[in-house]
Amino acid sequence: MKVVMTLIVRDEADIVDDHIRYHLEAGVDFVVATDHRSADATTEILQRYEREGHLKFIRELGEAYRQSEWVTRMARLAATEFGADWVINSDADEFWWPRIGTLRDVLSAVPARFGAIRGTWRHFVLRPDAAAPFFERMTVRRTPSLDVTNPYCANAKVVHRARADVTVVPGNHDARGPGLLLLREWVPFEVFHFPIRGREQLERKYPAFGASYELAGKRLLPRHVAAIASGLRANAEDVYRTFLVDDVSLEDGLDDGTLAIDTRLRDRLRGEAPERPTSLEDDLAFAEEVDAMLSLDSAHRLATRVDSFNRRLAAVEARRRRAFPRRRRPV
Amino acid sequence: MATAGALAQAGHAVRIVLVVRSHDAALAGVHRDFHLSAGADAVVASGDAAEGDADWVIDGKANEFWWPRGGGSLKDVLASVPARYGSVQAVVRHLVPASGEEGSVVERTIYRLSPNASLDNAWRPIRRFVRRSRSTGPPLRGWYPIEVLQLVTDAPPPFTRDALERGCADGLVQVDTRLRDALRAIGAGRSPEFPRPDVLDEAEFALDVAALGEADVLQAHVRLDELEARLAAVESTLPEMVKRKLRTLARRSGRT
Repeated sequence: MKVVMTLIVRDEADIVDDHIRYHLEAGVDFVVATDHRSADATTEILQRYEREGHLKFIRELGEAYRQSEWVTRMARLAATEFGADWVINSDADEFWWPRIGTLRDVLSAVPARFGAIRGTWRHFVLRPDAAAPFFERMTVRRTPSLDVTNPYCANAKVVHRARADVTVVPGNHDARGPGLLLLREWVPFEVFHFPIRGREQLERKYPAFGASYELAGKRLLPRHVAAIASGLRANAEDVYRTFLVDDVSLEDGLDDGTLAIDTRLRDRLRGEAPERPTSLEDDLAFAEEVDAMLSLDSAHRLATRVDSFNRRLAAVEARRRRAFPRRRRPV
Repeated sequence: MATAGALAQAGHAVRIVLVVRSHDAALAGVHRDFHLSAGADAVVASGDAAEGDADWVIDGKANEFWWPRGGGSLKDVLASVPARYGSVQAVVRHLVPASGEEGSVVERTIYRLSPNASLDNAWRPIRRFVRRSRSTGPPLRGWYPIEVLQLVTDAPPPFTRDALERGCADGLVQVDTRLRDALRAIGAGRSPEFPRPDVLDEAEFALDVAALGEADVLQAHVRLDELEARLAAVESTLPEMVKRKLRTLARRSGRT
């Protein structure tokens, strides 16, 4: 089995090296990366992996951020040029963590009639800035939000079987094509998510993202990106303080269960001893986050809309019965 | 998010009552012993007063064995569920006995029907719930920490062991000795084990759960068909009713 990961990056030098190293060690065979106008050391890092034979480097110089188009192109290349059996479409701030077995164990176990499976985001919060790498500082996980304008919103990302005609939807939340039936009820991956890693990165990422997305088409602009970019324009300090989890907030969050310490990625990247096996408590905490993700899932939304339609129709029927009582037939 | 502290605090204080809604004399003994070993506090008949004392109630049948999947007992699973949730999901999976052989039905029942098989509706995976007493909270979706291993004993298909083995080769039936092994352990005076599933077990289980998801989508279509029919009825009778109403109004205004 060959597993290829696609990656779009822009100025992610603080995380992209660890990202690629982690996934190559976890069982990814090859990376196809698109570098969108990076001005920091990101390009050099990608080119080093390319020289080592681990990565296909693509550069995009236009300002517009055509995310879905570029990921689709890379996912198709994975199938046609790099012999992939499975494709993981990732961002540099996402670390795919199999909940059971290895990444390859999970993909090998997917029943043949299904072509896609999901991981759910698990968000790691911003901690006070320091010189240490992100994974040393960011060991606090939070419960997901149900607000789509929040960067810590519940959501799923998809891994799919490689196909030359695949279309990856914006945000990598789904992949479409023949044979890509989603195994919706099994979520065997956690996707550790580190979207906001420091003040400088926060103030750089969202305005640039927002502007580039808008150039590609305003409707493509994710609502959380728009909300943060707008907030930063108004008062950057406030936005930073909103996302920062200082030691007092940490203590409160641990007490009320909205935050949890999670050192798994840190330990893995340090090369420390294997993690403890997943426990029932871990399963439950994960289940609650999957529950949140499912509440935004299309299947659940369909059921909710059918319920709502049923209530509205029943109300119309009741009003009609009151307004037009059934005539008694003459005896 | 459940913390270790909260779980420790919850401890195993929950009381679980399995209410058995049917009777099977051949299975009654092993059924009771199994569930008491698996973490239930009482196994009672429907209407028993003990049901009222329960924190969690399992509505079961005499041929159903409620199997905790998470590597602990039913008590471990249910004690860990935060109070805001009112129920936990379980999936019914069907075990068929090999026919024409000596030995107890449990010893012969080591084959599980796969959702790959073109199954009679009665044997499709089914979603069930373990409910928290006196709670109206929602179910915890996306988590199926309990399997219901249902022995097909009321109308067993005439499956010989050879036929079942052929079904295994074709991927339509899976060998599943968990229940037999657990009951053997209990019979020998030991506690049964409820190991955590491995990745292959999880993927197989996901197929069963996917069948539930597909059934949900079908159910949504059935409901939409029904709603469309009701809407059509409203639409088709509305003009006639409006005309009737207008005629009535016209008559009334003619009188005045």
